[in-house]
Amino acid sequence: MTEFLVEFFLVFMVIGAIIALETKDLLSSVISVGAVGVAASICFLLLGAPDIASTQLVVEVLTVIILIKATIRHDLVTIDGDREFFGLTVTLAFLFVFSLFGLRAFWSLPEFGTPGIERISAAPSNNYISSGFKQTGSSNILTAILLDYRGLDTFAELCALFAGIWGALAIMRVRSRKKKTGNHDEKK
Amino acid sequence: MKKNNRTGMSLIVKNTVRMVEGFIFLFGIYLTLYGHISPASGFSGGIVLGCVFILMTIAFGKNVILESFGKTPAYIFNCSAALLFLVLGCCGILFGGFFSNFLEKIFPSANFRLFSAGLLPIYNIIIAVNIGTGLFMVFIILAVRRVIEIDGTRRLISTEFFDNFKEKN
Amino acid sequence: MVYTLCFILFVIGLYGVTCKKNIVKIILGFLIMEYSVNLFLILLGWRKNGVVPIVEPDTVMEYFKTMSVDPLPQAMVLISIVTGLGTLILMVALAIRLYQRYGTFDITEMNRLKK
Repeated sequence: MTEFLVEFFLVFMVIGAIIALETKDLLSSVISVGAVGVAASICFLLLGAPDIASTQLVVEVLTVIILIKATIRHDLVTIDGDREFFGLTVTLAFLFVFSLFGLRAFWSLPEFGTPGIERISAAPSNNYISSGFKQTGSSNILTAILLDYRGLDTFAELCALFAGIWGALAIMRVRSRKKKTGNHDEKK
Repeated sequence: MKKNNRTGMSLIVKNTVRMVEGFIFLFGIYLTLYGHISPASGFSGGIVLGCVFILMTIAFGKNVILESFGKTPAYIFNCSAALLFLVLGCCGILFGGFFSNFLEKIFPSANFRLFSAGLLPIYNIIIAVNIGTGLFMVFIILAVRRVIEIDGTRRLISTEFFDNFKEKN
Repeated sequence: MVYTLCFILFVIGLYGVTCKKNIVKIILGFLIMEYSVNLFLILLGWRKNGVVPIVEPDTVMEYFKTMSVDPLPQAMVLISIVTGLGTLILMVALAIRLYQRYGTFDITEMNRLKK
């Protein structure tokens, strides 16, 4: 039952992605990407990951708001047509070959529903599941992995987010036009 | 108050936001504090906390938010939370390793309580403060900046105190 | 079948990144690729009739050990979603700077104006 539902939502996501990329109107394409993200959130909920589902839902709302507020209000002119003919042909040929190799690789994967922790008994996840509750005292195993076993990864993630946010602030910086630029030009 | 009513969205939206914003803020705090015993974490709680301020920015207009909160507290909270995370991680070196949970080793506590699992709730609170303030300040910068055309050249200007400037002249 | 659909979603996102002219559409292609990769990592860790990896007071630990979903990919995906928000903000800021420089979101137009 879960498998069928996940397939249904994946087909919905594929259709939404095609609509998002092929529509002429930018506003409706951004909203289509929002629909794709909400379907991904429902898939996470079906696959036994409720905390990721809630995070994905909130991030999706914020993504749509940022895209609409920041980019679309500048320019609503529709741009149609693709790139020039030769480059487009080469890119499409590359995509075709890439998808052939990818499909060949994906057919050799194990059957859906049999994760690696069933076949390999020495996988670290088995240790986390069996003794994570006793060792850390946290009943949510995900928090135990994120903040205790792999705290260094979370620290690196916070560094990446911090760098991204302050990099965006540095890109959007404006010089005050009254004093500083004038003095700077005069000194030159 | 009448002066504030001119900016932002319509009156229905403002009244609805005034009623709802406290509950959303409370939900974000719940998600953060109960991160170690329920399906939540500091990440989702922090994003919800940031979304409350973004909702107020959209509903009341950016000038009201900039006058009442300002950007400087968000900068200070963001940097100090990132620094505190590093300091708490380095404190674990004294007790056996980087990011070791030393509070749990010294004071072992009962399971399934709010104050349990040692340092994990504190880490969650720090992550939530960092992410919430970071998203709020990025959004307010993106909302304030605007590209306009002056004398044939395009400039990126800040409309932060634009309305005050227009009223004075 | 499920893995193949996930891969088709990835290829659609790659098509959007490589073949579209509008910068906003390129950002949307990046977002679609990110969803498909996150979903694929979660799909790899799913177990048939699995339970959520959260211990409750009345959980039997022996049953929980054999039936829980793999929690390690979930932790990585939770990190990756939040980092994706940071990269999205960076991309949007770059797009606004490009618009200020060239006055359009069209990348072939930008290429022509640069010469």
